[in-house]
Amino acid sequence: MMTLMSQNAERKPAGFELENQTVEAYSMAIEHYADQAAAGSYYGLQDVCLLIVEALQTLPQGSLAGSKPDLLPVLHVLPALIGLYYQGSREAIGSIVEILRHPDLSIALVDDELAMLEASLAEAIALENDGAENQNFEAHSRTIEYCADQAAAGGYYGLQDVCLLIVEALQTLPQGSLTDLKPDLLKVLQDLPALISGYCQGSREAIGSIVEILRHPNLSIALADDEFAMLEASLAEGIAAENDAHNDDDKEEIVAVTQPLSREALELVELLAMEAEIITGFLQDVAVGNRESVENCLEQTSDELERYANVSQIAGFQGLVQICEHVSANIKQFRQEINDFTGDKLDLLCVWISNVKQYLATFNDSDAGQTLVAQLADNNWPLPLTLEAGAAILTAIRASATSVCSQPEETRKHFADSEDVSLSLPDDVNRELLDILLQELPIQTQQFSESVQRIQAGGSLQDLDVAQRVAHTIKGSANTVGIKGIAVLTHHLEDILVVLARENRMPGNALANVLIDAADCLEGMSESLMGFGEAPSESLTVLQEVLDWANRIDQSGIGDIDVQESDGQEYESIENQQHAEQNNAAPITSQTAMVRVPNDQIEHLFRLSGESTIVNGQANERLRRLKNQLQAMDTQFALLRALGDELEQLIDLKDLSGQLAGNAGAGFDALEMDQYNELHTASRRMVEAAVDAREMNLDARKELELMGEALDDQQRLVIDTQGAIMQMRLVPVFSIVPRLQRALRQTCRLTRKQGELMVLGEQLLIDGDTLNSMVDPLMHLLRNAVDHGIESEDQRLAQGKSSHGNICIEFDREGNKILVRCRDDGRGLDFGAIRAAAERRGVIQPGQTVSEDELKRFILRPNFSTRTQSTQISGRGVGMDAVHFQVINLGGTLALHSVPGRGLTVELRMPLPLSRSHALLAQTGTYRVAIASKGLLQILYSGSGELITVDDEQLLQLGNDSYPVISLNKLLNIPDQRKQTRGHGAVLLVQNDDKITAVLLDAITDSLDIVIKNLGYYIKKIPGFMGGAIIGDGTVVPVLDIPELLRTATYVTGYDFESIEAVETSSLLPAVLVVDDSLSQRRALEQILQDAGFHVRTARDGIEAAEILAGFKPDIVLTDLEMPRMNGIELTSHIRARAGFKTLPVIMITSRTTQKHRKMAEDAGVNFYLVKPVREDDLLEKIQSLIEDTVT
Amino acid sequence: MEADYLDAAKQKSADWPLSINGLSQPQSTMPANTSTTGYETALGFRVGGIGFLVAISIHCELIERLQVSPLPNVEPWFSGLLNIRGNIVPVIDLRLLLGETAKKDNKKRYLFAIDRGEKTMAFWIDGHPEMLNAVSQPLSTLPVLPAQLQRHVSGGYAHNGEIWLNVQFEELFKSLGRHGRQYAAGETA
Repeated sequence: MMTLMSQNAERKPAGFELENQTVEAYSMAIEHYADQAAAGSYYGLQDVCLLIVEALQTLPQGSLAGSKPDLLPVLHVLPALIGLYYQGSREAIGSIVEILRHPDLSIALVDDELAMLEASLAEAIALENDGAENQNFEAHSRTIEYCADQAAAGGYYGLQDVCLLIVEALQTLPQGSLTDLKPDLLKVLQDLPALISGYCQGSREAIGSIVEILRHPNLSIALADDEFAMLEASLAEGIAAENDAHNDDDKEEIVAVTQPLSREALELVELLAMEAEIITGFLQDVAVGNRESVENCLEQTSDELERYANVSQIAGFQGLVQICEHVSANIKQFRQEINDFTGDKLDLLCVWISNVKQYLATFNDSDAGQTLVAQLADNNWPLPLTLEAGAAILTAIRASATSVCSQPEETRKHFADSEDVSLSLPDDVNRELLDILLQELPIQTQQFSESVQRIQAGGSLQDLDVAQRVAHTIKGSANTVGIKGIAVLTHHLEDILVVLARENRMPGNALANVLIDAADCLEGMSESLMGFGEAPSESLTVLQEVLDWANRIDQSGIGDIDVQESDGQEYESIENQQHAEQNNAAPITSQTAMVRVPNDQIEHLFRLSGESTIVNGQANERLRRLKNQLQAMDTQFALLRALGDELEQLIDLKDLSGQLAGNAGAGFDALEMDQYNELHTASRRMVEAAVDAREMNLDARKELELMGEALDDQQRLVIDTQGAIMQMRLVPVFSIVPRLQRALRQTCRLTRKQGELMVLGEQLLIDGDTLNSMVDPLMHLLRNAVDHGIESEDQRLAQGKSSHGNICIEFDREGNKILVRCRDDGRGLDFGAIRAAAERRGVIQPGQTVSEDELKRFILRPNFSTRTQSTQISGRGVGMDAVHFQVINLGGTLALHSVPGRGLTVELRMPLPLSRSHALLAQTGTYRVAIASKGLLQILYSGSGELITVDDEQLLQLGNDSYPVISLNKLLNIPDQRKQTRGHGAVLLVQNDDKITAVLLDAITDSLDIVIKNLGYYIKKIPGFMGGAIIGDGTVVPVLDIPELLRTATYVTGYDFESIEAVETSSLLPAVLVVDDSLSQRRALEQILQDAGFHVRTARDGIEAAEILAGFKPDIVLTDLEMPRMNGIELTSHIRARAGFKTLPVIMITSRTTQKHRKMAEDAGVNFYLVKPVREDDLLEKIQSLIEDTVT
Repeated sequence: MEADYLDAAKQKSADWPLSINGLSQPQSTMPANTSTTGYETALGFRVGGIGFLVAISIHCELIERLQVSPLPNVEPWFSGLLNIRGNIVPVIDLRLLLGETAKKDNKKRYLFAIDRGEKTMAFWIDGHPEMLNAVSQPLSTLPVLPAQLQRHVSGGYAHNGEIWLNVQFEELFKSLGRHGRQYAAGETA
């Protein structure tokens, strides 16, 4: 609703907003009034104010309540009196002057002087009134121009036209005072603002009067009758639209916005309106004069009022509660003096209740309830409302205007139970979000603790804000993950802090202590979640205290909070204690003690164990050489011994012959005595040494054997260590199942098909990174299965299938790979359509014979789609080619098995990360390379199989099978130096997707275990290479990925595709920019949207978002409202101001529910406003429709 | 003769960072930390007649002639891979990157590694690197270099009658990493 401000309203003092009631504070406030008065030329009032200030300054400094308690109420009335005075009330003058006479002020003025002041005060308002009459038409023009602006802003275009017409007309009038020239015009113009405000409130009568003004002869507006009629129609349309808009608002609350609480609040408002009708009914039945009737009616009304107050309380209408109490008191008076109850008393009540109804209809307006309160001040009431009480009620009414919607969960629990402090995780907890929460939580709880401690130490309002914001963030994150204990506690804490912050009040001691306890409890809960101990045992008690305070604040407001200090104990009921006992008896199932280790640490361990393998391999290599050397040495020793034996024989022979030749007088026969010389001895010793050396060699070899065993043991240990490290990263498959199920449900809804997903092998443990990387391709497969595979219900039934499609995803382990089979029972691949698409693209010629296997491979080719137009529905334009690309990028393979009419099975094989891999060492040209075992089916040595040439293509014939042949040299672009006649050293049969190729090698030199490393930090990946490995001799060999080489080679040599660029899946998907300062919220949204097939970018706040928008054009933006640096409203304005983004849809997702925030968001250009918690489906539907709107 | 060089290189490689620091301190006549943009003391090495500067704060080492394992099917300036204490280090031939034709005569060249750990990159350099003191005469215009290099040259200095270029090595390596990848299989990832 549009509000036209009168000039006086701007000057109306807003009442004292004093932090403390000291003399200084009052002086300052009143001095401010004096300044205002001077600015408005109310010099009499200025004098009065200054007199009071002077008087106050002579009083003792410090609290006024202590020194001059009588003076306080008087001073409090002053702002109201000044307000009345500004409005032209002459009665106010008397009251104002009366204040000056207050004994406590001891203002020494004689009666004359007071009379003069009074006169001066009266003069000013007389002047004001005269001034109005003397206003020249420029002032009128300005006012009406202002009205025109307001009208335009409010969407009253008819009214705007009218105002502008009048302004134009006024400007054509001669300069000078209106009074002289057109006295009756002046009167008309003075009525205009009242008419306009009537019009804005929806009065149709006002339309006629407004148009009548245009016909005023003095304005001489030259319009034909039909033009007047058009204006009239346009005016009528304006308020009709306004009324419609109101109805729409209500519908929107109920239908579009997921805001169940707000709906409750609205229901309560309706209920209040109905009850008001009932009261009206009672009042109408009264027969004045009939004592019994009056008695009855008053009693009923009084009872009803009590109920009314209760409902108002629940609905959050604090002001209305106070009003009901006040009226009750009046009715009590009526009943005591029942004979005085006359018709005008009844009228009072009737007018009152109709005012209540009017207030309920417009409770969000800034001036709501003013008539209501004003009427209660009528002196005909037995207890008329005092100015102060009226002001207090108005404040309460204003507060409720903002709180009715923002605190819709009026039904706050009174007693906490163990469920409310449970820290157990939901069964389908999202591990990733939990991880994020566990990262954030300790920091946030600590922040909360710190701010609360500062509050207790007497901190500032800023600390309150910080505490409130942190509590809000924790609540959001805990709700997202589903940890009830934390969410409930922070929810109530936030409510308390919000009220404190709104009222600019610091909590008293008792409340501050509760806050401290709550902060400690939160920290305890956080630690318990991290696995550092039990859940805090006091959590239930703490939550109960927090609840008590929150309830107390709900009931009696924050006003008396500091006095009510320690009666909280009475809420401790027996029931409550029972709960506590239960809680102790069955402690929350604590998670096994966990140590959180940064991922780098595990990576590092993994790398170290890899290094161990390398060193072990090097040691084994040395050992092998050593053994070979010893072996060689052994042969040498054997030779040496043989030579020694030979030598001995030779010496013996020589000796014998020598003796025979010179047998002179020795006396002994040669047989009687061996005649040894040095030669004998030496040869003998040599032979013995050779034997010894050989023995020693044998011993050494035994030692080496043992050492070899030790090295083997060590190698096993290293492998076990690696296994244990890998184990740390394992997660069960079922952790991703909820996401898969959700994707299926959403796709089914969008395609209006029915499908069921079964997941087999849920218990399988898979490396977390691998599993996560598989989610995306699996989502695409699921969507494809529903969109392309599953037939419509009718078709299925016609084919004798069940009405809903069955999709089964099976996880299994196959050696070092994870095998995932995604099977649907839909229509299978449409080979005709694939063929047609291939022909359309000129890949194959019409009529060319192409096998089904080849056709299958086509749909894996980049940018190949059988759809002539991309579906915006489930597939979102991402086809099998994109899935294939993702799978290949992850080092996996994809195979398709299709049975027409029976369904399609997609087999994914994803490699598990392994530090160790088996490889062949090969020589190709001048290069030494390692060939990873990936994709290797068989190693054949030269001679096996037969190379034949068919149609210029070499094939390897092996038994009944033949395989296409390519040499590794050719794959690597190495010039073939061999002569054609020489055969190759070896042949590898390599599987690439579902095709087997024979790869010819020059020679295989070794087979070994290697650790594959990447090629340093800067060179991440070269296609065809898996990385490098350090082998036994300490040199590096590049490790080849033959399937990848084959793939890249076939792109070039195979069918002629227009592009060999791989598909970037993200470019095909609709793009979303998510802006939120909470990591967990951001991540949660990102996941939901990614799973729904969007390309998602995230930003932490508006500034970051604006930076991202410089190089990224999303299809839609989702933003939070409150964020640091640049908030969502500012961001939206920024987007709207930016070229190329004017129509970019923006959805705001926030926990702020008030109309004020909504209005602000709408004004900034937000297309849709969603209130947390948001239902995924609602969000996705909204996004879809907004994107479609922009496209069309 | 060759063996002497090798020994010297080995010696250097063993205590290289120490020796650089040892050299710089006694000769440095400038205050330790002035905030001019130019280098007071820097390490320079030459490739194909052009000098390159490396900030003294960056870990560098001269490597003994380890075996460089070449890779098939990559850019010619990508000489191959090197094992430095368990890290696989790519070796770049800046001379080829500068546009000179390949001369496979690496006998008189040394391997020079920049940075440590997995971020290490190695170059073939001509002669020994040397300490340059008081490098503070910035060039107003830089010589024309191949685009791939030019992009990452942030400035040049004249010192002792030679031109020394200040290269943002990290950026250069990053762009080389991307380029090497694209070339290798004619496929963009």
